[in-house]
Amino acid sequence: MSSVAHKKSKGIMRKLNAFTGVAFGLLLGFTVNYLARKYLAQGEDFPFYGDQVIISTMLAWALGFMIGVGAFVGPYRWLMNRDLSYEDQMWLAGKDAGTSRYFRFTTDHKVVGIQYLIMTMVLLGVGGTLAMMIRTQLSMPNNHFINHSMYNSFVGLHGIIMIIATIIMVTGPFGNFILPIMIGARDMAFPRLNALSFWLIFAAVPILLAAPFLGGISTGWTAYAPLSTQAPPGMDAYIITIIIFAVSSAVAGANITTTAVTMRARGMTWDRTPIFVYGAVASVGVAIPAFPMFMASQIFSGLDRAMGASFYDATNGGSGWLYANLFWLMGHPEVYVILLPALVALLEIVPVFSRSPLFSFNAAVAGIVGITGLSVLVWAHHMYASGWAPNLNAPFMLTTEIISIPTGLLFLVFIGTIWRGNIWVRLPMIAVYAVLWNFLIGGITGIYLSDVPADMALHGSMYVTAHFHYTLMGAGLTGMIGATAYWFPKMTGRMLNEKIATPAFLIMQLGFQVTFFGMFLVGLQGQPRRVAMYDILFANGNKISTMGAYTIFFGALIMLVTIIDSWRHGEVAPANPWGSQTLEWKVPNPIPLENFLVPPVVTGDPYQFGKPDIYDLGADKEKVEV
Amino acid sequence: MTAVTEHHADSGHHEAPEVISRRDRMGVLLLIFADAAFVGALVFTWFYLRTLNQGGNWIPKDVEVAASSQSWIVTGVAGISAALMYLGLMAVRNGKVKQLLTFALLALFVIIADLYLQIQALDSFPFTIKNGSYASTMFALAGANIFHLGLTIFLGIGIVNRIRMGRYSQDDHGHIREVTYWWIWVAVASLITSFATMYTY
Repeated sequence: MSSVAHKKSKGIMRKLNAFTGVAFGLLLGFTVNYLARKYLAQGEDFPFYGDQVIISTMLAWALGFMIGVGAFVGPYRWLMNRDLSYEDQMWLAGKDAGTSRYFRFTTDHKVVGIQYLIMTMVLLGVGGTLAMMIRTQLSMPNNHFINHSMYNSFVGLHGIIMIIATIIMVTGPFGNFILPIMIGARDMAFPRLNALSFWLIFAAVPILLAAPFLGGISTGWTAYAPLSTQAPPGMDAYIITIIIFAVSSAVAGANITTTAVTMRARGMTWDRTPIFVYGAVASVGVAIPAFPMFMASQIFSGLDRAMGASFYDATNGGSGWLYANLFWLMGHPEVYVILLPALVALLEIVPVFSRSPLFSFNAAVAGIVGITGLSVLVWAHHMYASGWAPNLNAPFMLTTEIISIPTGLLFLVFIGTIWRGNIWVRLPMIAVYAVLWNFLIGGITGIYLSDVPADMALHGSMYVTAHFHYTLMGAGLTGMIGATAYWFPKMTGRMLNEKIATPAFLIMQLGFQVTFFGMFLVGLQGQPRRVAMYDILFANGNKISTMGAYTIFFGALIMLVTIIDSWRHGEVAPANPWGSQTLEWKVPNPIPLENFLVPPVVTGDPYQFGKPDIYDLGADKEKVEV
Repeated sequence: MTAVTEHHADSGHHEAPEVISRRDRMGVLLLIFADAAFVGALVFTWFYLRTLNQGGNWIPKDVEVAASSQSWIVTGVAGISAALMYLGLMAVRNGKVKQLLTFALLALFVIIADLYLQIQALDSFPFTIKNGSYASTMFALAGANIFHLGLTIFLGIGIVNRIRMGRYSQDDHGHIREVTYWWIWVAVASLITSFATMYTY
């Protein structure tokens, strides 16, 4: 192989990378922008001229970037019947490539997983900074820290950035890096699609971040029509971002599902498959049909804005309710797309740090399946107050409340596994406790909101904001931090410095409780969401929230620095520092390109603590005794 | 593994074509499922706006509707093309690779003609996209069909080229099957939208 690796580069494919992608994207974007401004500013379409130019420019950037990064090399070579050779594929996989493989269209799932992790951290950083701007503005009743228009824009941008970040935060890094190894596969089913799904997001992010310079996303992250059709051109950035993100999600969903279903190791029957795989597949399985609907809703918005179509224009036969339905047909399943992977990642952690078998594997699977099935039947609980189909309020209230049953099953599995376990208090396990607390509050407040009369009083208030932050941030994001702490040694080859990371995590959790306690308080007092100024009545609650938010930010900064420092200078990790039994811990550090030197054969379930190691491949004999 | 080694006999991690084919089939079916959700959203939009008829402006009084025959002609041609592709698949399964090339080539020509018919139908709509929600939805449905047909032509050119160069055989024709699945789905999607547009009023 070394002769292959050192073979002199040939062909344009080997010269393409993220930098050529940016260059080609800018070139095509500017060219199309010039041509669009020259030829579109005429005739009866003039009122839509601005949106037409912006949308075509953004699409051209994305297309140019994808061409420049090399995403179309595979399809082109397929078309010409010049399939990639083994050497080409090894090159694409990043064999012996060093750091440069992170900046090009690399197909190795481990590289894609790391790329996703970095992307998630960048998005969380940007979204978190916007949250601090919002909280600073709300620290006093009549503050003028930022103007109202900018405030609205920041709220919308914070929302959609955080939604995208939390959707990709577990299935992106861990679904790509960990899942294939966990099931004994050498890579994902479709490595090129894997790289495609990441680089599509990479192409979409600059578009989204351009929104503030185009008037912002003044509608909130939901971008309800007809607000969205009347919003400034920043809305076009939102539309194009979502369209690209939907394609990325569909591609990633098909890839992860196919990998899990068809590439499990010999002997890994479904009852021996780690629970993380179930959750990841359920999550992307919901995303596959949900995000195309979101994409359709945004294509209609784009057509209304740029072509004068009437999907959402009530004066011309359209309806804002159409948007609300299409949006929430994605929007509520999306909550579980975010939550499920985080919860099942923690379900991997609990048996390891309790040193006890997973309590009722079947109940966990039933919980996941139940949540997945019901998640597509609850969307209209977001629309009780809209006046759409009041006769359906009761059925949607029922389905929403029923979903607490499978959710309760997952709680049962958590508690049952911890019960009488030999608890090893490390950061991943602390994250489990934090998530149980946060998700309990998020879940119970969700039941109140699913109730139509209560929702009529609380809808559109800060109470709702506090509720969904408890679920998406308190459970989802906190779970992701736990998962990062757990898999960090395997992904980076280094131990996370828990002496600093654990206090940082606790500071974040303390800040989190304070922030959203204050938010529940002002919500119950009646403060509406998405307002830059408020009555003096709500001053104390907001002050508490802002103090809590700064505490989170402080803790998050320490955590970020600790992660970066540990990644670069941390203690070298043994192959299996936790004494885990799933397959990803049985491969050496650093993990070989194709993961396994010998294909593993599975003969038992992965949570048999107290029994001989069924997966032992001899990678690491120095296991930690607890 | 990262590198599919079906053509690399020296690799220690050789995967049989049928294993790769099974995986590809599932991937294609899932992507078709995602596309079906998108088509479902379009059809939902059609019936939602038609049923709501907000302010009586589903079809404003001065707007003429498109002839449904145009949509059915496009669907019929897509169906013929899919049937030809399917015959090609049957032929290769029976080891008749020359017949496969003939059928695939015919299917490609027919689908190109279908794209022309669809563009012509869109161009001859007696309304613009601005003439009410009916007109907007008709344009969206036609646009989605154009996207489908365009992608099918790309696949068709690739598959014909690869058949011509002797790429496929009775034992190794997974791509033919997956492309045929997509081809059939395009015809089915066209059928669904044609059926929906029968309910104009």
